[in-house]
Amino acid sequence: MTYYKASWAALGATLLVAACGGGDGGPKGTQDANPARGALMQSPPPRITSMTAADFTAILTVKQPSLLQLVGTPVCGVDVQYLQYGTVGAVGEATNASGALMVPTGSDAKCTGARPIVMYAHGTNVSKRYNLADFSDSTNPAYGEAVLMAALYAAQGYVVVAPNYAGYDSSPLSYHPYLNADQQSKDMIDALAAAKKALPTLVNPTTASSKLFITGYSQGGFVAMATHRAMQAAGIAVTASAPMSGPYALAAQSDATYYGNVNAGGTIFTPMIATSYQKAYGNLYSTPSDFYESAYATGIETLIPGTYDTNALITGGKLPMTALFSSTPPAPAFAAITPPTGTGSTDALFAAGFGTGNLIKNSARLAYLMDAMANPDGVVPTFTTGAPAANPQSTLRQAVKKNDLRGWTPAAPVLLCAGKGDPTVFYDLNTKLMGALWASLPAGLVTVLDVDSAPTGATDPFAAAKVGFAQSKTATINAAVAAGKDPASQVAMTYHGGLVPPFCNAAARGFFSQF
Amino acid sequence: MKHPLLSASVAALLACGASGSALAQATTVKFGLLNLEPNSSATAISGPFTPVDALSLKVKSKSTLSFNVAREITDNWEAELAMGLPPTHDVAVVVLNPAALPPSVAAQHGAIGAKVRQVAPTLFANYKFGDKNSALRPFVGVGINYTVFDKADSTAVNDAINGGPTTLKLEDSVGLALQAGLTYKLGGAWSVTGSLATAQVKTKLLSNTLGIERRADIKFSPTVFCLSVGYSF
Repeated sequence: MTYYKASWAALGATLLVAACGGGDGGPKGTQDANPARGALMQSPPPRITSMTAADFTAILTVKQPSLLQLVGTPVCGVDVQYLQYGTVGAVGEATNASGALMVPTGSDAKCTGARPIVMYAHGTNVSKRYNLADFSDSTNPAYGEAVLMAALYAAQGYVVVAPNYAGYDSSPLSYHPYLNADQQSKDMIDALAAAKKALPTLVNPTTASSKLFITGYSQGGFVAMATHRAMQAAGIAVTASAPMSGPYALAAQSDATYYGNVNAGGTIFTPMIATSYQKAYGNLYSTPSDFYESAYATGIETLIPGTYDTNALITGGKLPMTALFSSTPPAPAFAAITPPTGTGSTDALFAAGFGTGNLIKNSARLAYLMDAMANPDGVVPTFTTGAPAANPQSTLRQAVKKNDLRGWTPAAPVLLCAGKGDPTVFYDLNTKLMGALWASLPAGLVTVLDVDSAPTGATDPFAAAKVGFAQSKTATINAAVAAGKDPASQVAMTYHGGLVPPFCNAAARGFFSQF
Repeated sequence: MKHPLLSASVAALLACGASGSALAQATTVKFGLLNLEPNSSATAISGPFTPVDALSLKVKSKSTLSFNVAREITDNWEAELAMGLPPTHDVAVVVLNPAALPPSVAAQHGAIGAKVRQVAPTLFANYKFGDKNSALRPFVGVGINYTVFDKADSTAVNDAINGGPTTLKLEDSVGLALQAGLTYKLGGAWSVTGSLATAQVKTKLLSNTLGIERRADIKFSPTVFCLSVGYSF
């Protein structure tokens, strides 16, 4: 009897011990839920995809042959990691953000040893799920830019650090500090610090060289320049930067908009800018309905980034397609700029910025214009000082001035690339203007490239980008004609987001390869 | 990790064992070999950074030593606790859609991605046909299976597919179990038993690769063939 009891008990004990050995399923490595600036939330970061050079070549051959032709056959494999790191919001509040860390792999000499780092700042996107690390989902709104960065840089031996920005993807920040030069450069600097911590811990441990390049397109062009400026001020050595198609002279671009030169995408950019600066400075308006028409005011501060794409925002009635301003002048004196006419090929573009069902209240536009006239920008409406307004009184004009990038001088080489026909970020007001403001700097420090121009001759280092752009533009025109569509509007639709980026990006890589 | 049900079932058996001698009913212990074919079916693995419907898994068969204890209640009814040396199964990677995966991952179809150990005590109520003294007695049983996946380790292959060191966790399962078999008395206290059993086992797999959680639901309709030698006292 006693014996039986003991054996049953022993058996029970065995089962119980066996049943207690399971793991808790938690992550390995180290976690930091409240990371300091530049600290990793997960170390090592997870690898999302790993492609050999041959794998990547095969993928590009099938899915993106024109990109393959543009960037060349991958020399290195590419490992893509998902980075989550601590950063700050617009008022210094602690938060975190995510991004992609791509490293070259393989045995080619270009892929081993200490590799240069390229930081890439992405363009405007309205979808919160934008994630440059998500190579598993070709429907992710970041997929195209992510593949471009992998093919252009990582597969040619560069480490790529590309943040998604605070407010996107897994970032808990409830808004995005859009075109906030201070916050966005901090986000970039923090992503770089986190990436450097991660590099030696990766599945394929990687060493960075001392070369640091910064580039970005559109919003990212602005962020790239702001980051170069901030790093220079902080004593972080930048080897070279290539901001592309960015609104660097933000106050001038903004004044031009309110003067009626409404850019393509203005109904998206305007609320993104207003929300960003309202969160940062708190003084743009008391309530959104001070600024926006009532049809759009409710919920507009949490609209972008959100769970939709631009089309859904417009078809869902959340934002008007193009009518930023009312077609009724805010005062009789402004009839000639509601909309402006006699501007040549841009008349149609500007006219589309006006209509019924407009986004911005006439009272808000009037207040802006009155201040713009009393305290004019040095470029808009006419070139005077070239500098932002000395003492703007409009809180919105104060905000865009605060984030205007005029007035700094790069100490490391800069390539400014854009296309002169850009209907979204005006070339003359931004790229050409910055080039002019920096014209007296030592030769070679600043290079301005208009891909929408003819090669200057046989020695033009950017001839390929210019010829490629021209061919691409011609193909767009021919396709429009064949489809019975208006060629000019088809070119305008794809100019900023489709035609220019590949060639400016390719030119940027060529520029970086000199260093 | 606590398993109250398991504790309860063991406690019940302890009570059964304690009272057994007083009722002078036979207890049989059986040692043998069993083969467990899990017949697993799993949903596609889902989660962040995971191509949709591209990867799944298959749990492979395993043989192990069995250990059963049966206690007669009446001439025709007995209670039986079926156990065994906990088997560790290989879990194979199943590639559902190679086109959605990087070639290095698509090439891993059939590779072993994990090793999973299960502890699956099953308590049966068996009905034994025929006379108590018959040499050959068929039986059928119905019972309750409790499966604990007490150890689940990701292999280097799986770590590489998932993008880093990966932990795995599988939920416990409780379900109906059925068995049928034959016992042949060899003479004296010895007998030999062959049985075929199955059970309803469902679990949820949670995989965590450096913070990325991926999931799959797994169902098993296992076929367990067991051949054992028994000793009654």
